[in-house]
Amino acid sequence: VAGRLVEFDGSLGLIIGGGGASLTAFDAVRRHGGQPANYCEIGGNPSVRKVAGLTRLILSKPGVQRIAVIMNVVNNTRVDLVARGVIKGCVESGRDPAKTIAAFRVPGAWEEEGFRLLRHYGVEYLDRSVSIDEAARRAIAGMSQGS
Amino acid sequence: LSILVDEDTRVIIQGITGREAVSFTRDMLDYGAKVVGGVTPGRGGRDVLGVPVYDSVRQITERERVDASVLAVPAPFVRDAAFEAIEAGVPLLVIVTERVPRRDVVQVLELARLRGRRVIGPNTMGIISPGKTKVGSIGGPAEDTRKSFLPGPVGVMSRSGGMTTELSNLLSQNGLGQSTAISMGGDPIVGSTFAELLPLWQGDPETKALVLFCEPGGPLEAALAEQARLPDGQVRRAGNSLPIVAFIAGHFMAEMPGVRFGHAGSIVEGRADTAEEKARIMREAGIVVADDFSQIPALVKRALGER
Repeated sequence: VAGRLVEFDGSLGLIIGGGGASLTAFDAVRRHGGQPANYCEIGGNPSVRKVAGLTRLILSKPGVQRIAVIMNVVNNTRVDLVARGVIKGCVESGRDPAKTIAAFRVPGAWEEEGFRLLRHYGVEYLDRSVSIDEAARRAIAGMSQGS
Repeated sequence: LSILVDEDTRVIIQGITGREAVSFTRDMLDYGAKVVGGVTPGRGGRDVLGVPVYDSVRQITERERVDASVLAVPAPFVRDAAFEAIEAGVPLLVIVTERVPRRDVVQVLELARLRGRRVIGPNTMGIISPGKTKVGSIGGPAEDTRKSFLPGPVGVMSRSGGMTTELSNLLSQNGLGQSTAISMGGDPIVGSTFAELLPLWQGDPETKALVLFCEPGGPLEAALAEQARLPDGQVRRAGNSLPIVAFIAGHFMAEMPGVRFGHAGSIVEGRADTAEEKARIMREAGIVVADDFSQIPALVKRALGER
């Protein structure tokens, strides 16, 4: 199920999921003035390797400055594996995860482990008290501050 | 109260010995669901987590009442498993399997209609009446489920399984519990539509407002709008119709007709499929449509206050 990718022209890479949340997140990014570089939907508990590969692919596109990871509260997908994959993909692309990940909003299964990992790399994460569209807004606010 | 399922609902699992079925059966038991049996042909006499396994549905229905069956068999076997449950008299089928061939789905729904059974799905995560029971994988492990879903007065229907949890979590975070939450299934053809379930919500005295997660593609939203508009013929309480708040995701898809995003049923092939047009039709019928996802709790509270 993981890894449906459609290209757009913007500078904000997106890793979003599942099926309904990705539509919600993509709309929210645009509504708040964001320019998505892609639509990339993940789900069905993708492996660390798969998420890392998608992250590298998205970051390799010219003009992509940062990446936002936004999913609904997950039951089957493990938050820590998504976090590990995105961080790995950033590092393998020669980027600092803390400066590259504009938002990480994936609450749910194994979230404590995932949040601990993100903290370790200095990445700000958003928990279930922050809605999908608020996460999109914050990702874009971070972009405009520049980095 | 709640609709479709509650603490007394006696559930069986068809395909209970499959890996995912074992996992969600554990979660259901932990949440307090009454799982009275499982079915896997050729595996009768065993048990899964203490739940007895039978060779056929009838072996269970012959000796005890069964209110619902969760179908988690592989896609090629869904049709026969559903026929079996329908003919054995099970009134509610919850089909969680993905990628069931469309002609099989049509045949299942036709037989269900003839026999007066209700079908949710396919490609559904299931149904939950918070604090009472859950039927299917909805919410995941019991501990996670309790974080996202709280008992309360709001009915939830969603075309996305994940967004059923997300939407309920958003409501819970804002002090709005749920009477029942239903993942409708993301396929182009599903067993129950928004419109078909509306009378159940309207007839439930504990449900004070209804919230919907909608997507581009398909006739579900337009059919609901038509039904919501009907002045008579539905179960109504004390002259009040049930307030409905809807959110429609996928506005961007209008720019990309013919491309499928998210679920199998989510595609824009004509103007009527777009989020914008669905919003217009629903608003015309008196349904409140949220522009932003996080506006939903405030709109629900306003609707509750106006009653």
